[in-house]
Amino acid sequence: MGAPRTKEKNLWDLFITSPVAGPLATMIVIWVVFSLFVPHFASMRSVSGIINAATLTGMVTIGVTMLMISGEFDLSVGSLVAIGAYGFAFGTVFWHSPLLGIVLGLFIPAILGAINGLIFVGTGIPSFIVTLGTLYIYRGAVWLLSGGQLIQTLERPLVYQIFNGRLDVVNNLIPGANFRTSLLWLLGMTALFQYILTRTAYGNHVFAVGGNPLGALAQGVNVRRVKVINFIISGTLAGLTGILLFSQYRSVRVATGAGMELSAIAAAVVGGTLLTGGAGSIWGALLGALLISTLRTGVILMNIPFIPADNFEAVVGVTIIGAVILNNWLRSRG
Amino acid sequence: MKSRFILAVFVLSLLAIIAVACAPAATPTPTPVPAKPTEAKPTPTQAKEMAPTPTPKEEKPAAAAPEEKRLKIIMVQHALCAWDSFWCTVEQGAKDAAAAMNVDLTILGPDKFDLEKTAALIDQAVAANPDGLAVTVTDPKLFKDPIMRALDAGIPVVGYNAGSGPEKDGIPYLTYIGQDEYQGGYQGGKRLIAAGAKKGVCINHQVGHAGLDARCNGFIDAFKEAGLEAEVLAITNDPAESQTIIDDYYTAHPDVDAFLTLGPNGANPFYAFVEARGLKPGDILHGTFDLSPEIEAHIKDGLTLFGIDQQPYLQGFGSVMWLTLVKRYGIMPALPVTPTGPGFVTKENVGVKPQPDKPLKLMFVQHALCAWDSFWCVVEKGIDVAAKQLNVDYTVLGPDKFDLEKTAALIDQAVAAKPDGLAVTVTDPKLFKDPIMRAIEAGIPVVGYNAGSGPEKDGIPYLTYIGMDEYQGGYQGGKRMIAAGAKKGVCINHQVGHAGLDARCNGFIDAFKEAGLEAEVLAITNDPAESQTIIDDYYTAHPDVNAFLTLGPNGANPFYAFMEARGLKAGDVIHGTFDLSPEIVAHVEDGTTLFAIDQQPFLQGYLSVVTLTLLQRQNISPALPVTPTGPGFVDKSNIALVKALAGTYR
Amino acid sequence: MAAEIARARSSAFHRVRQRLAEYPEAVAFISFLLIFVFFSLANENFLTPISISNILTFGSITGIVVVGVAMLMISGEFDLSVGSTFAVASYVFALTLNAGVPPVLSLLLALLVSLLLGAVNGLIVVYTRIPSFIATLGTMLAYRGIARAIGHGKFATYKGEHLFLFDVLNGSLDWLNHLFTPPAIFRLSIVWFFLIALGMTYVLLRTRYGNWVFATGGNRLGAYAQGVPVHKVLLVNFMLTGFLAGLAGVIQFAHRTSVDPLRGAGMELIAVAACVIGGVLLTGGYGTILGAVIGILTIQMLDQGLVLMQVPIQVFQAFVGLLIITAVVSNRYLARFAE
Repeated sequence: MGAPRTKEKNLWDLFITSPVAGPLATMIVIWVVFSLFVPHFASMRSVSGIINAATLTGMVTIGVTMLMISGEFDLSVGSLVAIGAYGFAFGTVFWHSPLLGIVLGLFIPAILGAINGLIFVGTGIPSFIVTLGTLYIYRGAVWLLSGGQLIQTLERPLVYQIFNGRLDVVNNLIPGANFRTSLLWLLGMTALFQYILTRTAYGNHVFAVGGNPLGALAQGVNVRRVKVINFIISGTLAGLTGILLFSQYRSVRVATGAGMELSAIAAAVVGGTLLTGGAGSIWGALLGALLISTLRTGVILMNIPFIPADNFEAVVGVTIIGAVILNNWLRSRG
Repeated sequence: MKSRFILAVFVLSLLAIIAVACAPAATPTPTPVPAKPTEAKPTPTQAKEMAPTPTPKEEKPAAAAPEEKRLKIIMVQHALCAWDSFWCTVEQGAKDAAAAMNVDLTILGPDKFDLEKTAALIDQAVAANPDGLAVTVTDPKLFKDPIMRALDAGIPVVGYNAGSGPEKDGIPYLTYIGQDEYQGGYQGGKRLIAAGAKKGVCINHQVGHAGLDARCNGFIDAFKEAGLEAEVLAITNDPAESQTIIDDYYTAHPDVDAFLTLGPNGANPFYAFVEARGLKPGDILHGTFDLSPEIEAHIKDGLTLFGIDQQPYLQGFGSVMWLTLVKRYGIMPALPVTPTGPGFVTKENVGVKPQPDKPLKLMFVQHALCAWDSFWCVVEKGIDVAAKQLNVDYTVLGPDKFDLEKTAALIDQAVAAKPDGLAVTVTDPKLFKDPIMRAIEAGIPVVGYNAGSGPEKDGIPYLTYIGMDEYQGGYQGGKRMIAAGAKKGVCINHQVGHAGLDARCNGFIDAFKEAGLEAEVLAITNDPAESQTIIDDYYTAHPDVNAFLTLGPNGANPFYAFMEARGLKAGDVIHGTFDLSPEIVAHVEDGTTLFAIDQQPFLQGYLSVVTLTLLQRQNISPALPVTPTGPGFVDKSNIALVKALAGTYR
Repeated sequence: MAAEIARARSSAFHRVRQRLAEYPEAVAFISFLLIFVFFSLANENFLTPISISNILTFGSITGIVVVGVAMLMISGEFDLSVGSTFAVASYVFALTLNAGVPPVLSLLLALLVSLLLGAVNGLIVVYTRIPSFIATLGTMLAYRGIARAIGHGKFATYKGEHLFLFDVLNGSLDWLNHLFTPPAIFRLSIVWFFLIALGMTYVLLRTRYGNWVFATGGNRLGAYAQGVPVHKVLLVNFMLTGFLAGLAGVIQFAHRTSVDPLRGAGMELIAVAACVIGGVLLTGGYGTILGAVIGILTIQMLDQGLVLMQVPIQVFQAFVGLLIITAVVSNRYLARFAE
């Protein structure tokens, strides 16, 4: 998977065997169809809207995908998003220190991610259960940390602009566009982790650990270390998501991020990541998040009478199943 | 491997210890985080209650004062501050009230919107056998059973925030403390239409929540009535997604120009949408429910037309307060609905910061004193209890005999002392208008209590009148007497010319007229011996009169003397009276007196303090021009409860 | 090192541990007892008829769902859509009743619909080979959409007179409740719950189908090889889970007679948590219905107990999380001595 092949090989074959093929193909088809038939869809406004709606889920999905490729789950990310946002908010709002905010917002989730990993490797119980447990525990921790209070601020310090400000350089060039710096963070992290995954030894280890743990062990890969690191990555990116969320909306409450764990898994799987591990890509995960977001936008813009504006989540559910069926079909052909 | 395992166990036990250690401590006072302006500062505690207050009259503590009994009150609500910031203010109000009133408070709610779980929580709360239970009556049908179980177990229940009152909900709880959701949406819609709205959308962050749905229905109905269109748009828990959903909707429906959000959770992504689109105030119309720092900022800059404030602080505060009053003093809410809103917060009145610790000096000017009319001892007790609980200073002023001119002068003297709040008995609106206007012009908030008819009828723009609806009291009393067999009635007025007493008699007479019967007024004097003779003479002249209404202990006292002198027994005549005294209680018990109409004087004093204090400290204004404290009927069915407290609290 | 310690321990202790390890529900049972004793000592209102009946009555509704989820998990699959199926069944029941359909018919209709929804889950999983986690995550959203669509996003409240059927499904056990003052709130749902749990335990342990379920979950390839109709087993289990979720919804409706569009949301993870606490293996092939039953009762007991102790609900969540991890860690600890 992802191993470089000879350049002479048919480009089509290369595409069809890549994990990105399914989501990309679906994406293209949907974009073409929507652009042709859905009013207002083919505009920079909806493009930027779709992307913005996918940034938070997308960022979480990167970490979750890394972990899923190595064969593990992280259900606690939703709670970690809230912890990250609170940490960042504490630093920037109460102590007026962007640095402290970033440190708290990234490190606390990272440490909690590490705890996930350590419990997992220490006890050997499935990560699904470990993180199902910590999902609840961390949410309780958010409550204790915050005293149950929401934090909201009206200030706009530079640090918020950096993490999730308006990207006016681009927006002024393209009429109707509304891109934000969070997009750069998302693309940056996607590129970074895609690079780590496909171009470094660590990336190979991640695939090996998820695809064939015994083989990996035999080849001298430190399976446990890889997994713990992936848990830390997943926690840190959840924290970063919290920072992005707070930077734009400047508001965090105890329930922030609730349910995001399932959205992230859905996005990863729609993006071609195998639930059993060993296969997947970060680009695919990003596409998965975008695909779900596109469907939602499309349904609202279509203005279908029998799908009222308050019932589009059902469409998302059907999309998930459809996309995974398509992925499997493509994979079986490739 | 082994060490890893030990590490994991260590981490787990650490977490466990933290959870256990923090949990109970966190219950009564969670770590205050200065996020909400209503937060941050500790509330007046019992320790502060010890601070000396200039009490005009020190009573010897009788046996054990009811204040000393610590009560356990549980609130069950369909949402929590933890995930819906609206509730932080409700919870703050409840916590402040609990701290002030020596109450153990537990607030329960599901961890996400889940009505079934909320219903189960009510049952679980009943199991804890609390002294009082406050419940959001979000789904009356679903909540009926559990609430009935609480009532059957003898636990007093009030509804708050969500509900329609005991009658409409079909559950005999005491009262509903909150705003009418439908009206909120409807009035909001009308304001938007008045501002030029052509097509509206109600942005609902929790479809399926009956209260929020009702707001949207009201909003949509307002548009329909005006011949315009409006619909509902559902958003999600993810602000980024929600922003895009609103954006897409606006793209698909560019003719929509009026947006209603149902709280901070909807307003937050809406503002992000407005900013992203580059919309300016005036491009679209926005109204929202509830307030947050962000919403207040946008009301100021004109983007948001209004925030519909249901005064959530008051919902929490009121719930704890009423349950405490019910349990400690047997005082009942006067009406099935105790409104807290809607109140519109607009550019004009936005953004007064709460000052929970603001020291206050309140002044009370009343036309009588405990010193010479025992009725007022109970009012003054109410003032004293509330002032101690809320840690405010107060002074009660009154003439040394009934003297309205002197009372008016006292108002002027009180204004000169520049109090933070003034409560006045509006006994004679004409005479008191000038001095009260001087107080209002000096920026002193004024409430009326015990005597008055509300700012509109009295023609004086004070905040609210806290007292009984006098006319209703007489009217309802007359109806009860007719039902008991009255043929001809007389209203014995011990203070003719007192607007309130006259209104009682008018109500009484109207009730008889409606039934095709006769009734009239008999004036008595301040001298009981004289009065007894007057009544006696009247009865001789009109032997067909069989229904007597007295307007308070001062009328009842000579009336009982008259009965004794004449040898009349219970059942020979029908007697009803206003107010309670030990004597009246005894006669209600033995059946001589059919009922006593209680205006709950304790509550008049108590609520005056609470209203002025909440206004000054929490920026909460009374929802209605009349805040009724009565009529509350005391008859054979509930006399035992009332008896124990008569004369002090009742 | 480890061996020395093991040897140093008395053989009696070792034997007890080995005995315990033979019962998947041992850990759940012990934690149940510990928590029970703790609350009994810590709060005077815990050992009261109201508290106990609260635990059983509320636990029984989720419990019926848990029985299905446990069967499915033993056969190695998930169902995240149970909460949504629960809501759909309640809506179908409510709406058909209000439309004047005879009560028994609308009951059957509601159960049929939930059976069908379960079958859809099963067919997707069996024929598309999508992991059930993903398939039912999708149908969770889709079925919730159905509940919203048929109910028009509004409450559905039964408007007619009280039905005898409601008493059959979930009547109040008044004769029992009035033995206590204040009266308890035991309901018939408890009886249904225990009957269903007993029935499923019988099926699982005493029938060929039960063996198939274990085989399907434990070693699917081996099961194929031995001629176990794996697909049929999975399909039946998904239908059973859907059916029980719908039945739980209908039983709850018989008590509450009103349903809102979000009813049952979040139930899916609580059900999985109950199974896991009760010793059901996430990977399938191992576990008991009894364990899952104890699991859900433990969670419900925590819920009630913490309310009595005046602990806020977020801390309840943390306790459930802690319980999940400690229960599974202890299970694994015991399992090492199973051989």
